[in-house]
Amino acid sequence: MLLSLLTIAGAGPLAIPPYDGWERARKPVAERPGDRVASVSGSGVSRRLVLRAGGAAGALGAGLLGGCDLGPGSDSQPVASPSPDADQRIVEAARAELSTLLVRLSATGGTASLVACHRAQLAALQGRAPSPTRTGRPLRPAQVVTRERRAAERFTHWAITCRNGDLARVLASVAAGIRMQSGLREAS
Amino acid sequence: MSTPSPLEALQRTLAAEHASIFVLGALGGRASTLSSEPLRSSLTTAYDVHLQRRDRLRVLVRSAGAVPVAAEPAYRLPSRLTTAAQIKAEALRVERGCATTYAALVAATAGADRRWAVEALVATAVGEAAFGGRPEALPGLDT
Repeated sequence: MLLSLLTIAGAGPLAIPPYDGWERARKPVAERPGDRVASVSGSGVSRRLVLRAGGAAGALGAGLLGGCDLGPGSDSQPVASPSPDADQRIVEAARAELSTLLVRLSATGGTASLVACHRAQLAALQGRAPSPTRTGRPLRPAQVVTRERRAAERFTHWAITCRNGDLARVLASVAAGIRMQSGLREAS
Repeated sequence: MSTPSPLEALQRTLAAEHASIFVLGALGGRASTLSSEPLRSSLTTAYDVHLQRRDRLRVLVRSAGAVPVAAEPAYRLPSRLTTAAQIKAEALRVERGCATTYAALVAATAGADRRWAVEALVATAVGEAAFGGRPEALPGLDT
């Protein structure tokens, strides 16, 4: 399967396109003619862009969440044709999901890395971290796994159903980031 | 930079997969001279996964009415790939690069194609652990 031919080709003095890692792969293709490893453009689109996509999401009240399609297991009907308003509701729901997790995890021992992870994710969605004075009940280890899995499923669902591509990218990245955490990888 | 069209993003992802397959194959060849069975096994698994994704991408590009981009005959590799640590680090760079690529594909697509891209992003991020990747909050994004 792993052809030795490839090794020979890679090591030899052939006139071959450069493969020198992926760091430069984010540059536009035009900057690296002939390099097929080169970029998927737009990779550098930052979370800031997403938050523009969220638009007035910050001005939305929690009341809007009532109409949100909260994902698998939600009673809400699937959004047949997502609108910008639907994207704003997704942003709000995503922030609420992470805030709730943060409150519960902050009261739970041994979850420092998860808390740091969710703080970074919430910041990417321009959400405010919950006040340290807001305390929740601690979670048992099994509950942590269940809640994290559910969060990953919701973020996956939101990534697939939202309209804005850059928002989708961030939501998918959050889902992937949750799945990467120790204890959750096997669930992926 | 504007978001590429879905077809453009699919073609670029396919091109990245061509390169990944080449590099992982080469890394497997180098690893075959070492005694690290877990590393060889991880490389074989990753290679097979990337082959499947390449095939899927070809189907998606054809479904979009285009001819799938071809692989280059070969790609130049880093010169220092002699130790298990070097091989592992290079494999991790490939996987991280793929995570970025799939995140971009998520942004450029919708519907079933986006669903597949999201799944590929998640699986790629999770798979980084096999090459020593540590958990990140936002894999595939430039942070």
